[in-house]
Amino acid sequence: MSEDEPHRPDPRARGLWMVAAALTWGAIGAVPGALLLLAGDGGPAILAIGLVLGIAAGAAFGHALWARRAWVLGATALELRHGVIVRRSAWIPYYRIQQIDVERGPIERMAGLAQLVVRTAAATTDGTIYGLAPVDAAFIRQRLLDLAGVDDAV
Amino acid sequence: MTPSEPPPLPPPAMSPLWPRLPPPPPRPPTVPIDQAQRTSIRTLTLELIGLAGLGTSLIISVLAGVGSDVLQLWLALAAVAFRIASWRFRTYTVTDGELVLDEGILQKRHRVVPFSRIQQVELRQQLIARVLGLTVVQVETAGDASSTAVVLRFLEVDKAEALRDHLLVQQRRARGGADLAPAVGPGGAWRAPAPPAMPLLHLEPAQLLGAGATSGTVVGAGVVIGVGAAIGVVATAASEGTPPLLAFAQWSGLTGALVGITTAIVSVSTLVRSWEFTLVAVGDDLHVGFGLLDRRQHTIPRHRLQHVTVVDNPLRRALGIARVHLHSGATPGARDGQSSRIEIPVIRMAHLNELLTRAMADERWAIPVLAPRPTSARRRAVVRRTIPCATLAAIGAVLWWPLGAALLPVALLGIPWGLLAHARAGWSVDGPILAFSSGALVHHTELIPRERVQSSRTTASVFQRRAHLRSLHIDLAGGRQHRLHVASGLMDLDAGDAHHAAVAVGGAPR
Repeated sequence: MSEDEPHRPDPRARGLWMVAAALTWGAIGAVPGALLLLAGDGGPAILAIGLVLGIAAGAAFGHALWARRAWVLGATALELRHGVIVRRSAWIPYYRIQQIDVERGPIERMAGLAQLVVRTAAATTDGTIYGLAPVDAAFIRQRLLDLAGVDDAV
Repeated sequence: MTPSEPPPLPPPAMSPLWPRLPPPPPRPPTVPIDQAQRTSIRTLTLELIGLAGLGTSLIISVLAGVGSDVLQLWLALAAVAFRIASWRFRTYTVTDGELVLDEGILQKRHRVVPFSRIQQVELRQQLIARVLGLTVVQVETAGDASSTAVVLRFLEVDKAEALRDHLLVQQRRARGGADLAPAVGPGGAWRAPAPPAMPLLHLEPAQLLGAGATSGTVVGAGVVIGVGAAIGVVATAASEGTPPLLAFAQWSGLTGALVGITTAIVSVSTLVRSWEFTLVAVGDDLHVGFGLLDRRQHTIPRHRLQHVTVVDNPLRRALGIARVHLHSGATPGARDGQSSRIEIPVIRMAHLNELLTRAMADERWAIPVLAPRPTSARRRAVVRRTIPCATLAAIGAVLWWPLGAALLPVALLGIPWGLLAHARAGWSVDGPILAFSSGALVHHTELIPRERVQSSRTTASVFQRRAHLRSLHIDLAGGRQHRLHVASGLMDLDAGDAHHAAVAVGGAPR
């Protein structure tokens, strides 16, 4: 893993996020058709169209989420970028790192993914790297610990 | 460890900013090391007062023939016994490197606070404690939870001050201030050396009354009352056919009385809250004392100060005064939202840079020259404020049509509001002190030492991207509860400038 070069999340994360977003958006897209059906005013066609459009838009959004998320192990700071509608970037100096957590929820475990949470003394720091392969998460954690140094950093 | 005296600080270059000096802090008694200490036995006086109250209510109920609930009596006695036992089992110990708190009768609790983690030490005296000569000692550490504070309730005042001084000296030593090695006192106890005290600020009652009279509450209430009176004048003149001059005379008396009462209440409460406000630099710590009924003494080590906020309003700007907040990294506790913030109720703007320089013992502390935002931010400033104003006006107009049509001009308020806010917004990230200013009527200026920045962020919404703008955010140490106090920055900067600033501030080597 080289320095100063943007890294994407694991390809498996792309699939997971596309499925998750497609399910959510598909459910939202199905709402108008379902309401029409309940009202007894026809609507199977509208339900189907809404479902398909929602799933397609969700899949596209899930892909965009993946494509927009990147992290860079810079010379002095960890840089994170993400966001489709609101683009966010964050810079966390290595010497400010207080704590590094690797978290794996049940779905992430099933998908073979992990997230790495970098914490500083500020609660507002935006320091979560989503969608990492567990091996990469462990590697980055060690790299960050090496870079973080030994100061108390407050 | 060889005992050595700390090098004396150079004398202040100028006379104090305000003529009257606060009394010098008394020489503290020694703090016993490695000996478990209980909180003051006088704490139990409070239990005795509670018992006396219980007895009185018992006698009254017997005399009144109501009879007494025996179970209730036993429960109350058991509660008092439990609290006395809790006091007996609660001890604190100052060791070589930590403050240790032990408590609990059955379930023991053992807390260790390393000196290096201490953010702030506060002494707090409520009225009843002042009568008994006691004070609460609250030791704050950095972190997100309200459980991060160690509270010792109650200590004798002299012991508490000695403990505070000791903790602060040890905290600096733990961070590598080797020149601050404490002297060894009699009996092998550490004695905190008393560093020279430099008085910085003392507020007279008249100044505090002035601070209250010019506070945002008074100005806001004045505007509301004035608008209400204007409507009253028009309505009276229109409905009853009273001559406008007479209507004006009738209403102005009422208005004057209301404004006067508001001003008096706020001024007196400011006076009581901030009575005898003193700011003293003792060695490397800032001590602030204030309060008439509840007397408080806050202490922030200089190097724990995270940022400074200067707040004013139109009236204060006209008078050239402002309010200043000093923030440490400690998380405001659940009980007391003020504990991580020291408020200087009033200061002359002309004295501000000098006060900051002297309080921080650092020549770099001054408000830097602020750069304006790009002109493309002006349109967004106006649009962002016009939309909610127009929505409100439209809703009001529809609800109360046709009278509601009078509300339609409210939609235009967003224009001057946005223009004022844009004209005021400014930033500087080039120097050692980062600065951001914002606000249309109430102006805020945030000052952040560059070395206190924890991380930096930029965000760009769809609309901001269209105008090639970005927002810059600076994260500072502290909890999330008071989010506004731990993140600072400015909206709608030029995208390239914001990016470079974020990289320069958040990505710079130590």
